[in-house]
Amino acid sequence: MKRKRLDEEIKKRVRALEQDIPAGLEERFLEKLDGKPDGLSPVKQRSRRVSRGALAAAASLLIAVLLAAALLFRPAQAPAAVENDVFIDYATVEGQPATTYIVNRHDPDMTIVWIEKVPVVAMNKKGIKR
Amino acid sequence: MALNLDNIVRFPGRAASVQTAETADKDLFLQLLVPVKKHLYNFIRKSLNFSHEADDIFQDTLLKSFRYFHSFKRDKNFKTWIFTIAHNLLKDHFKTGRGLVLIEDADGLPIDEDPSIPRDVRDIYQAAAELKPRQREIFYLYYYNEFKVTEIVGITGLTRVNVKFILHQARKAVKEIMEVEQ
Repeated sequence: MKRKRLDEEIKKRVRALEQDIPAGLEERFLEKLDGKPDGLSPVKQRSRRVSRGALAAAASLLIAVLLAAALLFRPAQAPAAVENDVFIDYATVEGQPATTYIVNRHDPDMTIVWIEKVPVVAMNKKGIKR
Repeated sequence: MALNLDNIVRFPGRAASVQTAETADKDLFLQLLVPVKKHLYNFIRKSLNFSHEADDIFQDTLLKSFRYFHSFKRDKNFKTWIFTIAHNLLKDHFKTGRGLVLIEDADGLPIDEDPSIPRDVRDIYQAAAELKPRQREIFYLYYYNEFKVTEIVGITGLTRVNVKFILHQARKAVKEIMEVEQ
């Protein structure tokens, strides 16, 4: 069966069963309109209901403010003690005496090496400084 | 004294010599209601599988739409507006889990057993009763109330694709039943 024909057939069958509004039901509604029970008025009233979207937005904002406050006012942490291993050694660099420092830092994990030239003191044959 | 909507519409200024804005609103509301009320009532009944609770939902729809009639923009379609209110009330009704399935006709006879209803019509209602509440609503909005897909989108808040998909599913289910008949 073609779609258009099918649609027409369904419409025809669905419309075949139709009931009038019970008289009592209409009367009750009109009586309510005439009697104006509490709260039944077409006059503009501002709704007090808060939409779900507004509630979600307010909750998100509150969480963001609390997080920001927690980050700003958190107690200052004392810097963690850093353990250093320092090794000092003496070496000869290009024939010149030098002191080698090796520092192992654990936080951050790194090794610093530096070489310090030892001042050469000229001496005569008797070992006396010039 | 028996009240009738049609009489009130015919004589809009019947009770008051000086019409207040409220009375004018009421008269306009009743006037707009006349051509849609029967379709609205039957739509609610069919969507609820002819449950007796349809009367309450219909009553609530009228009261709520009258209460918020001030928010109705006069250049818009009244039928679409009032059906949106009915849809929201039906949705709330189904949410509370009171969406009972009770297929009865006006005389309280189960539709599938009433001999006065032709078999092909009964089959259509049986097929529609098997649909999910939301699907059934859209099925009747389209086939009974003859709303266009765009209007159903406005009433239900669903997307166009979703409405078309639901209609496709409903059509498929009904077609299967009709093919079995043949």
